[in-house]
Amino acid sequence: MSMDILELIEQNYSLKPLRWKLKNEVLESDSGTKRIRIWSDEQAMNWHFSWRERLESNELLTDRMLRTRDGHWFLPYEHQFLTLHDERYEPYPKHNHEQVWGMLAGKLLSYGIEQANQVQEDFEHETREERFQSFGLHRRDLNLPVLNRSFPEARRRLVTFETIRDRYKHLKLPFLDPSIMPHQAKRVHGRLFWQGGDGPPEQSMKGICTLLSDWRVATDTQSLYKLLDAIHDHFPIEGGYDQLLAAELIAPYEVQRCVRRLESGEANSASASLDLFEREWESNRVLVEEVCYWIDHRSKKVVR
Amino acid sequence: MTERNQSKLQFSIEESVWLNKGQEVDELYNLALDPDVTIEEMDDQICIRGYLCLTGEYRCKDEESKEDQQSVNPLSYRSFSQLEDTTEETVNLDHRFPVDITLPKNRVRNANDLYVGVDHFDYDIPTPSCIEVSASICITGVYEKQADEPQYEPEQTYEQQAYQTHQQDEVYEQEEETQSDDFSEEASNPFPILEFESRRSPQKYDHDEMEAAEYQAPRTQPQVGFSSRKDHDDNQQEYSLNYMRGSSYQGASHPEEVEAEEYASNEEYDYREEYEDEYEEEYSYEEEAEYDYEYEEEYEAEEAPAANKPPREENALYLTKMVTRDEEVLTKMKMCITQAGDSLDSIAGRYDVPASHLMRVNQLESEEIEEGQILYIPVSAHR
Repeated sequence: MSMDILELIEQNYSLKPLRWKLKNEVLESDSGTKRIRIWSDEQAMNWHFSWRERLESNELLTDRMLRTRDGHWFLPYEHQFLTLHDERYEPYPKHNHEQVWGMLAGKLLSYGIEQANQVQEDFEHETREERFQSFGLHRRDLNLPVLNRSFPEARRRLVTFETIRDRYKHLKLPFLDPSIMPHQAKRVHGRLFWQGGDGPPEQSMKGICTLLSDWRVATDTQSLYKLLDAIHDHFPIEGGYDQLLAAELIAPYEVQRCVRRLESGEANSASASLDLFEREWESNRVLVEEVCYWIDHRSKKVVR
Repeated sequence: MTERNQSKLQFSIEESVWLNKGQEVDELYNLALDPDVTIEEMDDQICIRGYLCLTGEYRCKDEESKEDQQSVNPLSYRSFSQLEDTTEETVNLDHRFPVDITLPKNRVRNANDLYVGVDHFDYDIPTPSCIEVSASICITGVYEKQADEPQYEPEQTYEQQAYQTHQQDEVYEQEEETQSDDFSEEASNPFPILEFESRRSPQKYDHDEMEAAEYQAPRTQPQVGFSSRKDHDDNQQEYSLNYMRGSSYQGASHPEEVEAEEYASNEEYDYREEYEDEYEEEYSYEEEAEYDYEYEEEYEAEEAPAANKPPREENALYLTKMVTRDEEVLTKMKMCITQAGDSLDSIAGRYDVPASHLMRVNQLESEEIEEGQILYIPVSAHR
């Protein structure tokens, strides 16, 4: 099968595949390293194509879909779709580059809002109990004291999240890649080259939260504030979006991740999963405090 | 001299303790009801004062109810170390039912013989915000008949007019009044009529308070008083039990008592349905000694913190069914044990109440009543 893909690429793209660097995912070619993405969801593929095209600019590069010789940006492949992207490895720096990162995040948010239609996701139709279950807050049967102890607080957090979401339900939430990680940013000729994902978009601020979370771990509080300032320059985090951002941070996603890890029986032992869970809990707690401080500080500056 | 058959005063309590929002029970670990009373001799009275202490531990129902608290500081949450400090979300319940029981000294041979105990105690949790407590409280060391004086002397009447406790101040007054000549019933009735009153002040479910009330024990505290008195009309001994509840009594060592008549007009107070918490209490009086007499119970829910019992010569048992809101509602009821030869019409005529009303109040399907049957007699609160 892999041979078929390489042949397909060679036939349709103006490049010569040399070998797989990561089988069926990353290949070396005479034009550099390329990543293959196979799409089963055409709608998701179209969305990913659109934002990549939209964000591409002189200051910001994206891993756009490479065009075929015929000018198409995808190929039909076994009842699915295949796209080809540039792949880079040099990470883009964070410290002192908050403005560029902020521009990226701000543009992602702005575009995500544009894409959002009036109909929110069916979040509002989910009952509270269903939401608790979706976050794994009902899994006392796992019989893990650390997890059990967190459930009451996690439930409160989820209720807060729900309350704020309900309070600002008149605001459109952006469609975003659910995972926006700093490691997706590469440096190409001194510029930020953003390698997007391929998952279905989610209408929430969750993607920005993952960015902020990783950013805080990788940098420091002052850098986080600079990043937030920079995002605010391109997408005003105010008028309810500040609260929605905080709400998204409050939501106990780390509990959800932990439960899923435990349920899936990943290689990590339960104790390792729980250790990670505690670290994530504490890290996110500090992040919430810092982001809320920033929100409060920024709003005071505006009042002045 | 009269015989001194030792008797046991026994009354049952059915009480609902309503928990504030955010303090709902998720899982009850333990619950206990213990008397904590002192016995004092005062003039011709023996006072039993203190509390019935409802204590226990439960895990707080945690999730939905925290919205209000979250609005105070919504965008933060506790660290793991803080979660460890509040292991299992255990909440201590400490709910006190003040007790104020006054007995005529001539009904007690020795104050040291008096003993207040809980014969039976049970609970139910119909909803997470409510703990229903049922208990049987008994007082031993009380005697049916007066020991050193003729029983029910016609001229010996007195009235407990004011029985007030204002936080630290307590005023107790007794006034003598002439008694009526009609005491035929009491001659054969050692405890002809017992009276106790019950009241609760409104539960203040103020949202602001609730926001600040995280993990607090319930704020409302019912108070129970039980005192004796004589009524000039009936010339009978009586005991009263005051049951008071209200935030205004928080921390008060004694219930505030006010003359019952002062609350008669309180029935007109607005009854706001803002909160649906309903308090129901029921007391019954049992006496081990045999009796074949009629007695009355007056059922009274009062607006003010407490009620001062007007002196009566008959004993009257006031039962109180409390419905607590922002304002309290006053109702009165007597309780009558039907005697041989009684009919619903005769009782209705005796108390000047329509028979149909009696049927409705007592949920009777027919006018047939049996000897020994207890009938509740609604009495105008304005009388």
